[in-house]
Formats: sequence, C-alpha cells, structure tokens
Amino acid sequence: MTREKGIVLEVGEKWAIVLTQQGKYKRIKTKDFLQVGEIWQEPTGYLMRYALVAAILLVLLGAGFSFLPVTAYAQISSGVELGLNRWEMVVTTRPLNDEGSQLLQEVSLKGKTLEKAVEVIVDKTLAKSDADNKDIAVNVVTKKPNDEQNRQRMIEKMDTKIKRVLEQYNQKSSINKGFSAPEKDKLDNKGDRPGIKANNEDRPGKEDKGKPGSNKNDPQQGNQGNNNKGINNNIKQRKDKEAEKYPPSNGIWQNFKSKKDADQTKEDKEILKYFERKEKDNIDRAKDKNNNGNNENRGNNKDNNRQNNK
Amino acid sequence: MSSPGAKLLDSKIIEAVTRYQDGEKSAIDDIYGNLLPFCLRVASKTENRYITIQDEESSIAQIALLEVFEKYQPDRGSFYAFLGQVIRNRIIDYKRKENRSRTIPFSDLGENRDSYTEPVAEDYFEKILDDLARQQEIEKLRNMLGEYQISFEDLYKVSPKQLGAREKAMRVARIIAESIELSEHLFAKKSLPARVLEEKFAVNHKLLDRYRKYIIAGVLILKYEFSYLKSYVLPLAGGDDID
Repeated sequence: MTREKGIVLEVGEKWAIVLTQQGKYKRIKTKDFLQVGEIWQEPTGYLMRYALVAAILLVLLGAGFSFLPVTAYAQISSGVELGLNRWEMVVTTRPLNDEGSQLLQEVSLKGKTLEKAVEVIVDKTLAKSDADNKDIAVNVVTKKPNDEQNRQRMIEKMDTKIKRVLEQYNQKSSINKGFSAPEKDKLDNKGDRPGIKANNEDRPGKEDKGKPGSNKNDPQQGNQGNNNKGINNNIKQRKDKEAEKYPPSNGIWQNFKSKKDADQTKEDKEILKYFERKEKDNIDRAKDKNNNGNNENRGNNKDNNRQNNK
Repeated sequence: MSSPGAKLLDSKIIEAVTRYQDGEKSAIDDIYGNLLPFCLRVASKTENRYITIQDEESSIAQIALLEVFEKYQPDRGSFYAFLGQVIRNRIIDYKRKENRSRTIPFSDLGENRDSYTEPVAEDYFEKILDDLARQQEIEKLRNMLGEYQISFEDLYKVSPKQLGAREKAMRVARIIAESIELSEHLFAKKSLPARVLEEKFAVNHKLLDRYRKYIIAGVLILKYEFSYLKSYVLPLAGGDDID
C-alpha cells in the first residue's frame, strides 16, 4: 500500500491539482489545507478503511457457512446428521455411517435449508441402492431440552418432504415401467396423464409402517380401501353412459383426495380440479338419462368424500 | 536542499543583519521582499489557513521579523529556523489572547489543527523553504504555459492514464527538448513540430494529437530550470538529465 506523492500545482476550495511522482497531473479532493509547492501525500485513511472492509468481506466469504450456532441436529437414517441453526439452515454436517460419509463427499449441504437438504439426501439415497427395500427414518435432537413442539414440527417437516420426494421418485419409475393392461381399459387416450398411476401397488414398498418417528402410512391405506368400493360402483354405471368419454378412473382421483392437503403439489391440485369439473359434468349430463343411477353415484361420492375428509 | 536562490540569500542575510545591528536600519529593505513570503507561509502553517499580507497575522509576522533582525546571532543556528520559530510563537500567543477575549474558553481545548503546543520537527522550516522554492518554480511554469494557452486544469484532463502512454509522451518531449531545431519550432510557433516528429522520429500521429498539451508541458519542464518538477518527470523520459 504505497501512498501516492505529488507536488501541489494549484489549489481550490476542497480540491487541488498535483503532479504525481509518476508524471501524472491529477485533480484530488481534499479537506486539508494545501498550498502551492507543498508535497501532497495520499491520505492513508482511505486505504486503511478500504483494506479493512475488504478484509472483513474476505473473512466472511472464506468462513463459508458457519453462521450462527447450532440449535438442533436432524438425523436421517441414510446416514447423515445435519446441524441446524435458528433459521433451520444447515451449518454442520456429520456422517453417521459409511453411506453417509460417501453422500457428504458427493454434495455440499451447508447453507441449504433443512427441506432442501433432506430432498437432496433422499434423492441420492434412492438413486443409489435398491430403492424398494429402503427405509428412511428421521430423528431430531434439539439443544434446548424441552423444546418438544419445535422438535415435532421439524420431524413433520422432514416427513412431508421425504414423502413428496418418494412420490416424485415413484412417478419417475412408473414412467419407466409403463402401464399394465387392465389399467389401460380404464384410461381414455385423450384424457389421461402419463405418469399418474391408478395402481397403488408400487408405492407401499418405499414407505415404512411400524417404526417410531417414521413416515405415517396407515391412514392412507385405510382410506383407499374404503374408497375402492364406491369407486367400482361408479365406474360400472358410468361405463353405460356418455360419461365414458370423459376421463379416468376415480381410482386416481381418490388417491389424491386421500392425501393430506399439504402434500398436494400445485400440479396435483390442478388435476384434482380438472377431475372435479369433469365429474360434475358427468353427473349433470347423465342426470336426464338415469336419475336413480346418478343419485346413487352422488350419494356414494358424497359418502366417500365425507370419509376422506375425516 | 535549498535552491541556489536561497543559499545566496543566506550570506546576504547575514550581511544585512550585521549592518542592521550596526545601526543601518535601511539594510533590511534590501531583503525584506525576499523574506516576506517565508514569514507569511510560516504564519499560514501555524494557523492552518491561508494568510495574506492584509491579515492581522501578517503584521505580527513583520514585527517578529524586525525583532529577529535585532537579536539574531549566527551562532544561534539557522537564520530561517530562528525567524520561523519566533513568528510561530508570536502567532500562537496572538491566538491565545484572541481566544481569551471571547467568552467561550476553547483555547484550552485540543485544537484539530497543527498542534500549537508541540515543538516542531528539526527540518520543519527547511521544508517550508523547499515548498516556497517549488512554489516559485510552479509560478514560472504557469506563466510559460500561459503563452501556449495551457492551464494546469488542461493538463490534468489530458494526462495519459496509463504509465506506458505517459512514458511514450515524455520521450517525445525529451526528443524536442534535446533538439535545438525542434525546440525553436515549438517556441516560435507555439505548436508541436508534428511533421518532423512523425517523419524523422516515427512518432505516432495519434499520440501527438491526444497528448499535445502534456508533451508541451513536458518539454518546458525538461528544458528550463525546474529542478523540483523535473525530478518528477524525468524518470518517464528516460532518466538522464538533459543539459
């Protein structure tokens, strides 16, 4: 940090023109009292301040994401422990097993939100091993011993995220597998959306049922069981009517309805609305032709809805 | 360190002082004009503001000058150092009295200027003399540049930003300064001998255009008695001094 030197050639109100040691004529701003012929030196003040600011920035950047002390640890059975700060962002990571350390080497989770980190971890876990056998369990340890509310909330959050990732993963693998024959009958060519399967059988394998603190699956299964009866009746009746033209199987529709609303992605909701509209059209159209049938359908649907919404 | 002018003045000063102390009071008139800038400059530095001959402090400085002429003995050290110190003390005293006469007693508070109570460095007054010498050089240069319609403001505007460009320009200035023919051309016509430079010395036409004023100023500094300024400009032109 060498300070520039110069001879003062001309002086004005808070400025001066100097001839620097490097042969440059320069106009400088100054609060100092300068007179012609004096030797001027660049004030260190500026350089020091800029240097200080630069140094601070470097330290902050270099330190990376080590902001804020850890307030809770989230553990995932994939073999990773995430240290989270007040804002539930990852500040530390620790492997719990070999798989975990490999995972951590592959990707940097620091600075990510809890959700994002969980997403990444689950993604990678699924991609790696034989996905059908994989169980994913989560646990959260908070620093404050009695913060159970927060702890549960974080577990739920992770839970939700994991479920969603699993779903998306299932959808992807469904595309790969293709549709099976019986399902093709149900679906109309125009209306169906690829990737959404009526068949529930692919899904359960991924989800864990009995372990504590794991993804909760049971209510979902239960609902589906009930709905299927109503569905079959509806389908039979519809097949006889114009309604056949309109899309698909309530099987899909019921699947969506059985989930918690929070789980539905925007896409899901759109599809749901679409089907609701179509369902309404179906009902109205067939009204004239077969009142009894329709009323029965309506009744069934309502029952199903009531059950679902419980 | 002082320029030749000042040195001459030293012996002249001692001569005048001696005559003055012997009774020839008019002896001071010979060098009064030469000493006044120094007196004002010391006063300015002490108060950290520009003092002119009309200011009160100017009178104080002049009175101090007379006092010094009365008292100075060569064995007391440098005349200028002595003169400078006396002026400084008188100004400080004056300032203190001024402050006391006001109801606000801030005379004892720390000043944010040149600290009065601190003794000055050894070469403090020598540096002031150097400043004055430079000031004289600069005045001279300003006048010369005026003849070429060039101001210092012009110069800072056309100053090449890159070191390399400045070097190139200064080398051209050197070529002109060293050549009688080219210097004459410049002096007489008040413009650069562009054609000769381009043809004979293969100088880039654009360079001459863009940095015309900078080059002319460079020629003047190199060619004439601008010892201080030259030291700032010579390295660019190639180092060795020009006769």
